[in-house]
Amino acid sequence: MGKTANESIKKVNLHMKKEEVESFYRALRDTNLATMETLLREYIGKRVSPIIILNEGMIGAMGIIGQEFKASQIWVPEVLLAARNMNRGIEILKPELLREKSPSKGTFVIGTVEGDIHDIGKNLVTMMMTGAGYEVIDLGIDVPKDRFLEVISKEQPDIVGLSALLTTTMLKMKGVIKAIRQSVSNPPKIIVGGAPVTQTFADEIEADGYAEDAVRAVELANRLLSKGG
Amino acid sequence: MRMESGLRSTPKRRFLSGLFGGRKGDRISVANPTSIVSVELMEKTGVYFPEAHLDPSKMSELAAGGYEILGFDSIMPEFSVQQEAEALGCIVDWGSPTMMPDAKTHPAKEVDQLKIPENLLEKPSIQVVLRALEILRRNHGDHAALIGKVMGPWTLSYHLAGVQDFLLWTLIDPDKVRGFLDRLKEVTITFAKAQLQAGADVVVIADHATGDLVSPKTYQDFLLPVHQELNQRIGGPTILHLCGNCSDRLRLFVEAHFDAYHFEWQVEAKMAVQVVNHEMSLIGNIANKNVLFGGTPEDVYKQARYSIEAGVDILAPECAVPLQTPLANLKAIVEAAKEGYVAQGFSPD
Repeated sequence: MGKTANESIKKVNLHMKKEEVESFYRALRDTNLATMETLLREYIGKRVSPIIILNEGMIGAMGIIGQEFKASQIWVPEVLLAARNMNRGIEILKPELLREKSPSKGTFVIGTVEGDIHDIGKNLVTMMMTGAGYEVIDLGIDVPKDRFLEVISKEQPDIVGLSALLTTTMLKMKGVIKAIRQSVSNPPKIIVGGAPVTQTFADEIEADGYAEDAVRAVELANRLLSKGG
Repeated sequence: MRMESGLRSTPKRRFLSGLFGGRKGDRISVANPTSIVSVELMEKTGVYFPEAHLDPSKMSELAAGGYEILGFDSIMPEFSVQQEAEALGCIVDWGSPTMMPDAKTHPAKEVDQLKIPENLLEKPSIQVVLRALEILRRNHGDHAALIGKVMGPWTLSYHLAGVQDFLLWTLIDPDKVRGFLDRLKEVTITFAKAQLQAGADVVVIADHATGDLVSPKTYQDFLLPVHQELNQRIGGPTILHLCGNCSDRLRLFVEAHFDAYHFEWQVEAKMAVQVVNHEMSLIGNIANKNVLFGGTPEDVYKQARYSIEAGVDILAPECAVPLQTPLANLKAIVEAAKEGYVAQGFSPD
């Protein structure tokens, strides 16, 4: 018991207070970018470690946004706003983070497959994965198989996400998955998603996983790579 | 087949009766407020995408396939959501037999960048729909229900500004959103009136403020007054097509005064019938992904019977069907409807 209590005290010291995470949450929800800028300058000024600011403050707050989105308490505009504010925050934090390197949870390569130019879902996944602490390489839309292979051989990601909005283009996923496994010696986990994609289809094309939405994609990635949070 | 009342059922009568929540007749109407074109239907009619988006006689021929080959009660010739986009200055990739058209550019980031041509109705991509409706009226207008389709100002804003930017503006620049809707609603009204004049019995207004993207409050604040105005000024009958799970905003669509709402399987049909309370008709709601595209004719039959017995007014796929949807599954909708309002030996549970 005693040991557990000590551990939890240590944890409290390491973590931001609930009210502090809430102030980051409010900054993510604010339509005014200056709220996030001011908050970050305040924390950087107080010499709080940028890793704590990122992991506890911004990613912690983004986690709340993700849960609220999943529970239909907020909608896509609020997530887009949070992502915009988050991106601005990361921009400000970047020079600080470079001084004190933050361990990434892993590298994630994502793209919408060839012939498909839809990117809302993919962008939400990118934002949520970045928010969750992954280093994300977003290849954009209409990505040919060879482009995936080129980047995967070069960057050696831990996980790859394939997105498609059309029933026609989702059929391309199978070929991409096959090619990755054939040509990369230590192939990454491959997850798929997009409106027409189902778990059954994902099983059929032998993907490592399928997620229905961006929040579940993060949970899936964490599970596949056995990283908590 | 059971006769429940004296209405002699022809496709057009069935459809119109369902549209206005009238006499039930011998069976439910089967219609397509959105596209039911599939690759197999293109093969059967010998008319293919993308030509069918761009040539009025081809458009009408492929559209009529849904009536002549599949046995639907309605004919709806606007297969894509991009006819207006090109007329408004977007560069549209018209796709292929296996690919729906898509707008490649989003040219307006400010209200004053919206260019609505004075001769909108003369633009080729608009003309094609009007001409196709005229052909259909001449060939089938006595017997089949003719459904027109226009994009509402929310969908037109997606095309012109891009979905992400437009959705973000609802929070950071609501006046700009109102400015877009205010300008673009004129396109919807003009095109809808022209389609009714060309021979459509009803127009579908597709306006994708979908249940998965925005809240009921966003609909209420931005679109409800605009939709009320559309319905007032268009004059003729209208069907709202707005996808996603909209269980939480059905009453708002009633308030907007649409004659009918075309809805998805995610919205539970029995609940919807109860909430809407015959103040607006319900058209739907067979699931595309798992049933029409991914399921068997038996799966389609089961969902169709469930919707019929839940009290839906017109039976239809929930949205534009995937192009690889098997023809047999589309026919299974009509088969389920032909059994009348109470099927022998079928229990919806």
